[in-house]
Amino acid sequence: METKQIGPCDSIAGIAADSGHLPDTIWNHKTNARLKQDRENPYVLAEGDVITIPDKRPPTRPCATSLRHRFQRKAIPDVLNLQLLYEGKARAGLAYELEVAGQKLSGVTDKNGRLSKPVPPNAREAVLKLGKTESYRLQLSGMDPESTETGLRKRLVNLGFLRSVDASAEEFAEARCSFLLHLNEKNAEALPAKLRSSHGA
Amino acid sequence: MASSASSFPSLPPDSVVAPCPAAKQPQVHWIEIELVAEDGSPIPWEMYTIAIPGRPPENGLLDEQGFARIEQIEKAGDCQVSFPNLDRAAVRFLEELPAKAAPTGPDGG
Repeated sequence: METKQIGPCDSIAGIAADSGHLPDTIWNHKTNARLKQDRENPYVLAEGDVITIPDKRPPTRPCATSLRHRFQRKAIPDVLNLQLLYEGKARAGLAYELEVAGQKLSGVTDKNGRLSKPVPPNAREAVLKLGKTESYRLQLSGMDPESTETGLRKRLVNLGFLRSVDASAEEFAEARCSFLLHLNEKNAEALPAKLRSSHGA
Repeated sequence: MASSASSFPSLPPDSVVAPCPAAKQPQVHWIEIELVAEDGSPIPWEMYTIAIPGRPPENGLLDEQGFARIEQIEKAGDCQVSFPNLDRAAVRFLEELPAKAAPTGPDGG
């Protein structure tokens, strides 16, 4: 077994793809039980977390000559799920183009404003284009846990309450208050859970 | 008779002038492997090992189409196919199919 220190953009899916494992094999391994309990979401790890990568048991199969034998690598590709809302309402039937890993994928959002597309497990970012005027750069990895200050800051930025991740302490405090007021929430300790819920992860 | 003798001046009696097309060629076999993702797209450059009875194992990388073909296998039978850089839980056997590659030998597929 080997251990790996989590980098700023690592996820279990990406580590599994690189190491030849199924994501569940790593995430559910007994030596990673504490990390799984602390982080809950395999896509939201903190930089510096340590993960154990179990030893591989390579697959072996008897295969007859004069035939082609087809194998499938499981859990590849990964899937990117998005929901598009405008003031809380689904943006249904909207044509989109998604650029990811050098590929241009297109389609139309469903009745709930959702789209779902296969992406490489190690994809770092994507660009979502809606019509000719809207374009969004999406960071597909690097979200920190909501139990960390950077995790709170990143979620507040994504939700439009904070100007940037490295905003001042005063701006950060103001953004936290604005977010709680927006939800009519008076308990400041509820901030991480409320942010996680509003943010979606 | 004179013209016929001049066509084969250097061949001794009973020599084979040309190989007989009906003569049996020694039969050789082949095997192909392919690795795809869950959406059917190819997984290129994955390392494979194929243990072939009666000869050293073949190691290599799948091509950009996630495909490899080994030819000139003398004996038909089972080969052991493995992907040494993958865990068994991450790989599923899908199916057996006819040859994908064009034949290159007398019994190439």
